[in-house]
This record gives sequence, structure tokens and C-alpha cells, in this order.
Amino acid sequence: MAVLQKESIQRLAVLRALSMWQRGAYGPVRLQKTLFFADKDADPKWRLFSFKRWRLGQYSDEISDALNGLREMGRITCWYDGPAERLKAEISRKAQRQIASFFQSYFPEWRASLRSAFDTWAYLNNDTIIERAHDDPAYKTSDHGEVIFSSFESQVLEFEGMADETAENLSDLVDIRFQRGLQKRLASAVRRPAKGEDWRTIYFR
Amino acid sequence: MVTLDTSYVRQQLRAIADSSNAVRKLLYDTLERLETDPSSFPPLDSVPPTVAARYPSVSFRKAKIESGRHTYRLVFAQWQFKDRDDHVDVLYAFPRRSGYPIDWDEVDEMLGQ
Repeated sequence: MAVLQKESIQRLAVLRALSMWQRGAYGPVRLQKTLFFADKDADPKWRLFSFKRWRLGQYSDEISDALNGLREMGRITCWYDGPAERLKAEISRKAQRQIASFFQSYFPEWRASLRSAFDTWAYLNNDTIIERAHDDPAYKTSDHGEVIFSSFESQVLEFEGMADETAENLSDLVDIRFQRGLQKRLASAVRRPAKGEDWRTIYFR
Repeated sequence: MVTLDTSYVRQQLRAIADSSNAVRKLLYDTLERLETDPSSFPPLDSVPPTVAARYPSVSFRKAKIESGRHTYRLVFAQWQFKDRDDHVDVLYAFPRRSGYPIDWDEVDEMLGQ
């Protein structure tokens, strides 16, 4: 059985969205709005993120959590390019294809509405994004801080037909402890002399 | 012959070796294969490109040890040198149910933490 945690799916969704921008997303506001409209037009039972009304329009703490996690494990890089920062996904082409294929197979509606939201929102200037986000009925009919809609409830999802190997790869790709540990041990290993050991005596005597 | 260093996962490999005779045999075979032909293990796809670029002489690979309800994963770095044989550092060894995320509580439990 192939299983993924909700948190992993959300991080994968953020990576999927970020990898659509050729040079990285120019500021988190456009990422938030692209993902909001992707979810808004997708199946309400399977929305990936919870959004609330906030000052700059619709905002999701879950996207911010995903961004913080991804940055911590080196999956996104941020740099300042003019007045805002660019956020860029750091994933191999193979991983990009694997993530795209995952959403195509298991969240096809979300994938289609992400494409449409990206085409509409991805390259607008910030003033226009904020103005249009404030004009949206979801914003107009809610109060500051009020939840507009919530993400799916389960913390863990089973995926029928998915290979175990694929589930493990996707999960490891966005596992903070795994990725941080790997990098920490590598940084340590590079400083040590490459010496062998008599593992037969250590484990099997 | 490839040199093999398992010092990062000493405690974990001892626990794996003690889990059952079948697993012990599989662990032996895996370590022996790591020493003779590490390139025969599949690559680890989840390494960020920035990390891979920082260590161009390293290949990241994984090995599975599976016997009945016991399933484990080994993650290792294979260093390649111009003037000597390869070196392998086993960076991770942990229990894992096939197709599931890593259960870090189970990993900590294995280490008695």
C-alpha cells in the first residue's frame, strides 16, 4: 500500500506550483493567490490548503509552513531580485516529472485548475494581484481572519495503484528530518579520511 | 575493493543484525555487495540538486533489506576518486514499512531514544 502524509502532499503541491515559474516566483503573494484559485476551482472535498481572509487577500498558513519546511531542507532557494524575493524550487527534472505525474494521477482537477490559475495570476504585477484578490467574492463576503475554506481533513492518504517505490521517493523528497540529516552527515563525511573498517568483525563475529 | 564505513549507523546496523537470522543474512549480503559493487544499487532520487552539485564526486544510493515483517532501508554515499578505489559511507539505516513515509518515532525507538 502506498501512503503519503497530508503535510508531504502540501509540500509537493507547493513545489509543483513553484516549478512552473521559469525563473522562480516573484514574491510569495503570487504563489499564495495562484494556489488559492487552484483550490477554489478544484473539488471542494479535496482542497489542498486552508485559506483565510487576510490583508493582502486570501492567505494560507499551510503554504507558509510548507515554504518554511522546504527552505529548511534546501528544496527552495530565495534571493532578492528588485523589491521582492524570488522563490525557486530546487528539484531535479526527474523529481519534477514524478511530482507532476502524482498530481495528474491523483488530483487531476486540482492540476487542471492550477494550470488555469497560473495562466491568470502568475505574471501579474503585485498591485493588480492584490486589487483583483480583494475584488473576489471569497474576500468580499468574509471578515478579516475568517476561514474561507479548509483543506481536506485526513492527515494520511492511501493511494491505490501507486508503486511503493514512488510513494517512498515522494515522501523522502519533502521529509525535513531525512533531508537535513543527509546533508549534515555528508558535510561531516567530506571532512573525514575515506577509511574502511572490518564490518564483518563489528557486526558478525 | 571499495572501502566501507558504517560508523554513522553503528547502533542501527547492530539492531538490524539482531532482528532475525534471515535479516542478519540479508544485511551481510548487502554490506558485501556494497563493498564489491555499490553502483549496482539504485540511485537516491530525493537529493536536492544543490547538494548533488556541491558533491560532484558522490553518488547517492539506497539499499533495501526486506524479510517478512522486517523491512529496512540503507542510504549511502559512494565517493569516487581518480587515484584509488571508491569509498562508501552508509549515512542512514532505518526501519521502514514499504510504501510508507519514514516513521521517525520507530527510528528513535530503535535507537532507544
